[in-house]
Amino acid sequence: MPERDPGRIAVLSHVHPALSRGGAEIAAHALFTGLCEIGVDAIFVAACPEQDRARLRLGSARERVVHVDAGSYDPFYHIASPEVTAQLARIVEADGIRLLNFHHFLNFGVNSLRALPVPTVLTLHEYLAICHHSGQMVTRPARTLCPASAPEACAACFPERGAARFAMRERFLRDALGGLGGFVSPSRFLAGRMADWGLPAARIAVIENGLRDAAPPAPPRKPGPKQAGEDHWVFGYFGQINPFKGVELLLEVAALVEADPALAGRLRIRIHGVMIGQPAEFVARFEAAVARHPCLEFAGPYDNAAVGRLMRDCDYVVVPSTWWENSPVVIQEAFQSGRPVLCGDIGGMAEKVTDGVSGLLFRTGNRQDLLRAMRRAMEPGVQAGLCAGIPAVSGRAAMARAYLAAFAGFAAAAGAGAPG
Amino acid sequence: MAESVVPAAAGASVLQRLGTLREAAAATLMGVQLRPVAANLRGFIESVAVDAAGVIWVCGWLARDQPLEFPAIVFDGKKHAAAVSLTSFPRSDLPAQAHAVFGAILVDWRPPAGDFELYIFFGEGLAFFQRGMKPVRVLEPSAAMEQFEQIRGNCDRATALPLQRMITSAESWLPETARAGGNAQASVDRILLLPGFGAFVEGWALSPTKRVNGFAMKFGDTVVRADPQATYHKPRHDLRDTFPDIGPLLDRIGFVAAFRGAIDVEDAGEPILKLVFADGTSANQLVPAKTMRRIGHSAAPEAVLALFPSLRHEGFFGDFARALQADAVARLGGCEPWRVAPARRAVVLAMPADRSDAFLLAEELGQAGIGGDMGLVLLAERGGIRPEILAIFAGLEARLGVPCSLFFIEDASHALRTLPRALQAVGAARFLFLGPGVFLAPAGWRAALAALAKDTDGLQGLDLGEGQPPGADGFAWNTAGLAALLPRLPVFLGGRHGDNGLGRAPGGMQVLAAPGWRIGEAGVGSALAGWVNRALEADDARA
Repeated sequence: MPERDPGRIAVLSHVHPALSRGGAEIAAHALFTGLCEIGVDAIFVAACPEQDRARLRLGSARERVVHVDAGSYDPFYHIASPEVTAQLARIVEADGIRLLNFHHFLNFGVNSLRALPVPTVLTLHEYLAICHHSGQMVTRPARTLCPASAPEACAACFPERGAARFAMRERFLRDALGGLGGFVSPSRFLAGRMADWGLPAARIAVIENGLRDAAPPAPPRKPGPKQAGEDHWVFGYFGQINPFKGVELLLEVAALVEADPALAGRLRIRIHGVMIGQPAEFVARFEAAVARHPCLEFAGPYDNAAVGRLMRDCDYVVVPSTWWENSPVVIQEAFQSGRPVLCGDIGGMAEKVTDGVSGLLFRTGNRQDLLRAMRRAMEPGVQAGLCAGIPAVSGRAAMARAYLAAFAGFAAAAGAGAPG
Repeated sequence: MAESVVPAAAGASVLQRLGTLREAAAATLMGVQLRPVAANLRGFIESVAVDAAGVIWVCGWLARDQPLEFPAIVFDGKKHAAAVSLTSFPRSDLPAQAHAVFGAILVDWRPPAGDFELYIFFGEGLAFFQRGMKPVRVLEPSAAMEQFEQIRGNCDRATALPLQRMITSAESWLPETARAGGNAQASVDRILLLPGFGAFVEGWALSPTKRVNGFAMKFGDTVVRADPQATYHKPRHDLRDTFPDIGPLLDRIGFVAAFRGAIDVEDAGEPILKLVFADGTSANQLVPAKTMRRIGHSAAPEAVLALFPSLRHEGFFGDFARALQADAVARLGGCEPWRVAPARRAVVLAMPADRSDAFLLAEELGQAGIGGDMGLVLLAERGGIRPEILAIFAGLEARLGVPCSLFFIEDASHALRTLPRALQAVGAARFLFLGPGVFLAPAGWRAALAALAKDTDGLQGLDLGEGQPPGADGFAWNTAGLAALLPRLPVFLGGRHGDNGLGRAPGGMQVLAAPGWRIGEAGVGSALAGWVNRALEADDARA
């Protein structure tokens, strides 16, 4: 039985999760399955780059695809070709869509979001509207954290664009997005940043990303203090291997660990993930570090279905990101697997992990402080205490219910009544 | 006499002597019957080169008992009066009664392409002859000079000196004579060519024994001299390691100079730099063509500022500004129709060169409210983002439901100049024009389109509200008025300066508040553009 009848909802992902397993894609698909699970009439619409057309296999009859051509997309103002808008309009009409929930505007273009004739809600997954630097809010090329965007500051990162063009970008995106029906942010931090930038705070709902398959947290891997030579403390990294995610920090920490033979005998840093499209020098540095440091293991790519088992083979999950993050799915997955998290002390990470309760925070980007946190994590009794503090993880159905409530709230605020 | 103090006139005198000998050959030897009897063969010609002045440089060998300077007949199936001046040097592969020779021939013969026969007849009754090897190598003049440099030390001094004088003569444009000219060395770092003006050159010149008094350059067939009032020397400490022992010379080894003259920039070839010494001699240096940039094509006018930081105070600045303007006019090019859809009123947009801006402009056009009897006309640059422009145009045609036209032009910053042709092609009597990088706010579009919809004669300039005066960035008017006014307006660098003279329209320019923005190309022009345009404006006012 449906819990309520909002009419047919389309959940839209900027890439199909069968092609890319980023957090936004996974969250969008989990929401879609969650809505279906609680009886809502939902379809899933994913953008598919032309070059990936042959690779894509849709998961069910409730999935649709919008073909996008990168050559016709403008990645500065985020404007897609009219053909993309037309494809979306055809889906809206043919499927009788009453509400659109976009997870990201990338590939679809903000022009499409504002042009479609039904209420549209945008779920924010990073800071792309505010920051042209991949939405990371870190400066270029120095890669320091950026506290707030402004045309002059953005032009300092991209001098070839100029402040006037960034002012135009801000005006265009703020106008285009400001007209949407509402926004969902998986973190209070991101919501705050977007409100500071100019989105209407009253129309931003904070809803945590739910996992597709939520379950009670697993117990610790091997309770009690580990002895040298008997076993190692395993700190696992899960995710894309790129500079934003802070993998370089792990390489630096591995070097510090190797400098302390007693520590090196008790600790392993295990990196799971895929390295695609990274600069050759980064790949070379990574491979050299893995070859040089016995405490550093590269476990390679993994299937997301196996992430729980792989995390349970670790004692802790490390999230060393050097940018603000929003609500990393990897933190939810770690909690679901019963593993405390070591992460940076900023942004969405600090919001999701309570220091000393569900994990340990370290100064973002600081290898010495990460090593301090690791040493602390290995102290007797610490892991058990942190495991006990891990919060319950939201599932897809709970997320779907929260979204429905938010949709209804947006509609009510607009004075048009709930969709359907 | 030391080699470094070859008298200035000496080189010229060699040429004069050869000229006299050739005249004698023409007068007395052309009628003599030639008999290439093997017993009279006295040597061979191994290589020839023709220099820019038409002198033939030869290398080969000759019997020792023959003179080294003589009138002659060059024969290749046809007789050519000639004069020969050679120097000799020993070569181990030759028999004792022969020596190697290098020298110059004044003759109107030129080596043809492919294999050729070559004889030089000389001596009493033209009894003796040298014959060309099979084949004779045809060298670049620089290779011949290199050859001379290598053998010069072994040459007979009395006969080598006149040739050296010829090479180092201030009138000579033989390349690569720098070492023959007192061991001078020179190099050119960059050349900025501006048609109608000349060239700006930066380089260095080292002459340890002679003072460099000036510079000249040869581009193709054109010789230009450095303007003494626009020549200065400067230190080149980056050459300290290359020349560790030249002491204070390092402080003035660098040079910057403006060379004034009508250089054919399309046919500049490999230029030659001439160092003119205080004693009247000179040394030449071949300059790689890769050092040349054409202002307005492969170099921005601002590049000149690196050579002349006080450019606007230089004496040549007015000429420079006028040459830039003339070059801009020459580049205006045409207005090539790609799609013409007639419309009585036209919204004409000069498309931004930036891909992202073009996408944004197209997106905002969809919201602008163009309709009624209005058509859309896009003026886009031929290069750059042409593929995106075609996609954008197709999208606009599909979305707007009004006649859409597209023209390709050379330079969007000068789109104003192409307006009459585009408007006449679509048959528009009235138009609204927005320059590249101009974006209107919704209120700006409403005001501008309302002005377009009216049938008034006056020119209405859009005030975007950015504190800059209304002008060529955006205005509404009628086609006939613009076509009459435009030929009287100066062309400014960057296409935009003040109101571009539009205020001279009959009735002046009415100001219409139309909120909007300028970005990219329409931003504030460079400081140099401002100086140049102010100079042009002053010229225009005087005219």
